[in-house]
Amino acid sequence: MIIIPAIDLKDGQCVRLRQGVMEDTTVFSDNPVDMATQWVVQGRDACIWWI
Amino acid sequence: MGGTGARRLHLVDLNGAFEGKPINAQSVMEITQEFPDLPVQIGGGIRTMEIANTYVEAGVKYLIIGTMAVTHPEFVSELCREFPDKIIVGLDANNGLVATEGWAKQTDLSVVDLSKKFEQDGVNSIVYTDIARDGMMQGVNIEATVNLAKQTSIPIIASGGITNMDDISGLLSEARHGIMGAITGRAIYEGTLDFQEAQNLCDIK
Repeated sequence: MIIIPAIDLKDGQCVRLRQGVMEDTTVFSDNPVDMATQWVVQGRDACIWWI
Repeated sequence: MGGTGARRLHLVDLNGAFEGKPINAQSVMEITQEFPDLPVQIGGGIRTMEIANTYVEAGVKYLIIGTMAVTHPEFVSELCREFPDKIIVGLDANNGLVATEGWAKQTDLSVVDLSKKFEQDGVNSIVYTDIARDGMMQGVNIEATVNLAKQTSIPIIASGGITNMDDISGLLSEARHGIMGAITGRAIYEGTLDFQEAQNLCDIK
């Protein structure tokens, strides 16, 4: 199996929703390329510093 | 084991999914430009051949068709002919029944029955998302995922609810039935799942 990090984009920001509800959003980053870089280049320990 | 990073990214244009047209395409294209060799799958708002073509030309490897796969399954057939092996069907389900329109609408279609219809089209894979679990950090619905994998020849990518290594282990133990991958969002962002630890476990199995 491959593990595939998800980057959900809303209004140019990286967010996560709960159960697909647009109003129930957590913003993880406002830079999608930086977020992608975290997963692709580093993998481990990525993104913990966002929160 | 050292970190090797992700081998694929799952991008979702949430505004696009709700509005039925690409809204965050610029962000998607910035990512494909930054990582030209990285397989990227994108879903949300791909409802015309023209939009699909734009993404493919921008270097996106896989297109995920959600709502249109339910309402206009012939669109999937058409896409598969135009873009062989690039089309993924994204099915969101609640209690085995398909939901659409950014999850706003529940149908009475069985996810298994609908999946079987795509076998002849040459669909690359199916992203199966359990709505009740997604983003809730309550564990992936392994039973429903395995049930779908067993009943269709199309490889399944599990999504929704993956929270920790128990979910990865659980999926791995059933992967032989045709589960090729697992999408993880909130868990890796909140740190209940270590991405690299999860991938490493998959690699040694």
